[in-house]
Amino acid sequence: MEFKFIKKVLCLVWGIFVISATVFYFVGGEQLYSASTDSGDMVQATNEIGEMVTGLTIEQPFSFDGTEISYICLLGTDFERPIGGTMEVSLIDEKNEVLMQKDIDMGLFSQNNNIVEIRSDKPIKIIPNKQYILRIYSKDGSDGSVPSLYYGSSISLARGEAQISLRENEKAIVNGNKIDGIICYQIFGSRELWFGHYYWHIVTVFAIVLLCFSYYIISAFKSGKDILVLRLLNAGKKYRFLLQQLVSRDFKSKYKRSILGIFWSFLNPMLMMTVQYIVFSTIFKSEIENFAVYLLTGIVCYNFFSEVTNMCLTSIVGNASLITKVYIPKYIYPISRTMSSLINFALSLIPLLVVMIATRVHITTSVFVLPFAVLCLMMLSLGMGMILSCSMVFFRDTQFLWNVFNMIWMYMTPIFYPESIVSGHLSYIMKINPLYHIIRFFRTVLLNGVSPEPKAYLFCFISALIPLLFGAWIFKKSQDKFVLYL
Amino acid sequence: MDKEIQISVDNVSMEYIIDRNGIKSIKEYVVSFIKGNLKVDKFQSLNDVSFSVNKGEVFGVIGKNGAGKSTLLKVISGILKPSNGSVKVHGTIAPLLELGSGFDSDLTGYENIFLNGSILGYSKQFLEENYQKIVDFSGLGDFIYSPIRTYSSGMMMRLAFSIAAVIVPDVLIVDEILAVGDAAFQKKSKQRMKELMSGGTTVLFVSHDLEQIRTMCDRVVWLENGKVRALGEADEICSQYKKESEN
Repeated sequence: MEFKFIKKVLCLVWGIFVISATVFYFVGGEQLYSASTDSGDMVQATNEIGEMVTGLTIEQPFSFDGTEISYICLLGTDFERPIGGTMEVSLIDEKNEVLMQKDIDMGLFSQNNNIVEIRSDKPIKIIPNKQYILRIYSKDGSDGSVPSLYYGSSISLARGEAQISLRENEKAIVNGNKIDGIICYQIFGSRELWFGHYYWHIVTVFAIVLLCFSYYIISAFKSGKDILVLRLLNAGKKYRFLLQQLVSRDFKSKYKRSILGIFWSFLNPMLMMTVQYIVFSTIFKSEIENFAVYLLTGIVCYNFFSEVTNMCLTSIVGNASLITKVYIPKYIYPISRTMSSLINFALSLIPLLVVMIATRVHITTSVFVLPFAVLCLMMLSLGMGMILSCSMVFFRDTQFLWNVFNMIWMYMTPIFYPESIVSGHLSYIMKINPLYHIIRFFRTVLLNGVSPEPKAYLFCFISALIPLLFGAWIFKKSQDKFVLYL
Repeated sequence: MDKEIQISVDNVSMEYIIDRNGIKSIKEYVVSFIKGNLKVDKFQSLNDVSFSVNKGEVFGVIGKNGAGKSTLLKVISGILKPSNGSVKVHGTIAPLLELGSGFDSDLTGYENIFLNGSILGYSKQFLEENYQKIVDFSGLGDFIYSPIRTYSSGMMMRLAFSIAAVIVPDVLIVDEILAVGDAAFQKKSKQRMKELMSGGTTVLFVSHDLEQIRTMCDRVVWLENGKVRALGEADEICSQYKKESEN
């Protein structure tokens, strides 16, 4: 291996690092500094507090897991008659200091599903999870023409509702008397993240680590030491052509004798989406906004995962005739299968793009962070594929077992249902599902048009890295025995 | 004369685990595990084999069936990892693939030359340079642009042999001289093999044809039950071997 080659690779790595650090800074935007958060669903509106006649005071203690409140929603009723009047909404902290005070026209309760949004003129800074009081005071309102607020003590679940146990200091106070429940309110705000403030510090740390690493590689090369990275680079150079040939073989022979050929790559996800879209948007009602894109994103990602794992599964066994006759590093086989699926994946993004344009999704610069998610998806799939390909060599039952697991996994991943219907201990299972994090990442970028919060990147990366490392480790451990079992 | 060593085989042992009661599924594994008859039978295919091959030498391996000849070649070409000992090879190795095993039947002959060549470890540039030579040697003409599933078995073998033969590797591994194609092609391939053997390529040669070994090889190793029975000049070892097998 020549020094020129190492120099080229290092330049490439540095180039990617600098570009991605810069792009991420601009694309990341607000999401680098703060994550939006809310106080959760309102309680079920079961009781009315009573007409908001002049002088009525409601005090609702609350705490909020965020550093800033942007607006508060209140649910009331107009009793289906004309209403009016003014109420004063204020936020008070423990020391009785007023953080916000605003007069609101009570007539607003007759619009917008009886929900009134109270926005502060300037952002309200608060301390997370500390007790504050939301006070609503009716300044002016006469009997018979004012609304009432709701209160309750239960929350709605997917099936039925559940009583919530309220502590004494959480209950609302009306005119000095405690009532058994909390008023129907919801707080929207954001939590400040340290990540954005230290972004360039973090980038610098990474740069230093990369610098040390580059130095380490160069010095190891000059002194002729045999280190893992150099060996990997060497193999990468040596087997690049082989990999290219194997990928093009997979790709050419896949559609070689079909009439529509390469179009199946578009057609397949398209048809699947159409069927599932019809099933899930007519038979099962779904409340998801832009269900078509939501669904197709899930299908495209899951298809890739399932294709890679199924192709890798047979990658060793299927190439038995080669493995027993000529020496090629065995990891080439699963990697080549992953690469050829990646081409299919890229092609199936085209129908996704078409549907996005057709449904008028606003495509923003945040799509530039998608390669990260694709990389994670690939790492995860390859890792699983490696585990399966090993397992297949020793136990041929793997292929049948995997069919079943694949199906279970698909239903466990929110592809065609909203993630909100998963609750309780099932949501823990959903959260340890690596695919969930990756698909969620895709959806945040494509549907919301923003870069996900930094935590999502971390989750995504971890859920891809662990399976990959585990898969590679198992593969390395068992690859010498493959020949004996083929 | 100080010769450059191309292949050195040091104390190589190869243990096979044979017949794990034919277990190929998890169910069977669990059942036999519970029954307690997960017996592991070991079979020593190679036992402490050491020798070295010099650069440019034609080195023969002889022995009865099951003496470990093929295992030895597989260990040298890196397909099998020895359970003990080590093998060092300097330069590229080209195994003469069992013909056509690296082919894809849906691809054309042209595409298969590149696929097979890359499997054998050759660079794109090298294959592009030698492409015409391969096609000429195979004598396939315009058929090279048809998918090889349309080839006759003779045509396929000719193509496979041509790919392996046109290339000049540092080490060539030959498990029995190949009798491929019609008489004319056989003559051509033997000719090419001789060219390679005399042209500085190190050749590892396995055959049951003692006469071939005697005429082609410089030195010979005689394997018996996985051990080196004798190692030395081709003539000498061949006569010994012949004498013993006649008795």
